[in-house]
Amino acid sequence: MNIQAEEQARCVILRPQGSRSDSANAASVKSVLLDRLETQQQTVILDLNEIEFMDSSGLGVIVSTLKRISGTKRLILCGLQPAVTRLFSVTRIDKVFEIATRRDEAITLAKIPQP
Amino acid sequence: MTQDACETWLCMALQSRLEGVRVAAIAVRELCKSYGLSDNLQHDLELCLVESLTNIVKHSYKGETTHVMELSLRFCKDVIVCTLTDFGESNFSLEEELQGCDTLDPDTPPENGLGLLIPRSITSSLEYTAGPDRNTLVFTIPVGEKGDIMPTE
Repeated sequence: MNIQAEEQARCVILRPQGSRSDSANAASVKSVLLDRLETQQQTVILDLNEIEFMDSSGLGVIVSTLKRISGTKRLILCGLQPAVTRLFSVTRIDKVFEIATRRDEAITLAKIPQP
Repeated sequence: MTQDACETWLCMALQSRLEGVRVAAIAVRELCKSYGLSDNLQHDLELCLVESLTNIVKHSYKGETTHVMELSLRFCKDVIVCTLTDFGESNFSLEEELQGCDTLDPDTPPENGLGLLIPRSITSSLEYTAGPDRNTLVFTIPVGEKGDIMPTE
């Protein structure tokens, strides 16, 4: 899975390109994602808009991303599709992350000091 | 409910590969669409199926890709019954796997080990039976909740 990266409004926006994030590709996604975290920007926005299905392995990749940057950078998720939202809800991981509905909302949220 | 009251939708034999799990998930998703199940129900079923099959690949077969796992999907009046069978190691305790899942700490979220929490949270029943020659995981998902109504014929 490729991960598109761009910088905007002092954020780096990472967008995984592919419809599934599961055990079959979790290791490669994690490797690419962690590489992309090497940025000067203090906020990382992970735009999951293309991900139609995610399992617990895919979720684990995002949790490991959060742990990697914790204390040094801020992570905001956006673009969660219904199946991904459901996964976050079932596992109660939604309480762990800052989540915006759309990318522009995530950028706006990034301008507000972290609670 | 008797076996006769159920309509079998799908029987599959899969190679014990993670890519095979993905194929099964996509097949089941398309099947659900053809039966007109709601998106919510499709998501739940696909998620439970993927987590359970992945568990078989990783734990019963230890990642070995040359084994077989069987999938049966039936619709029984107001529930979907999914039966997964493997022929690998049976030294697996569902209760042990689920231990601690109720105490998820938001300050220290786990990177793995959430797999079976998902089917348990979504399904109305989850049973694992370890036998001398095969292991069987059966879960049921109610149909009718959340507006997930089966279409008329």
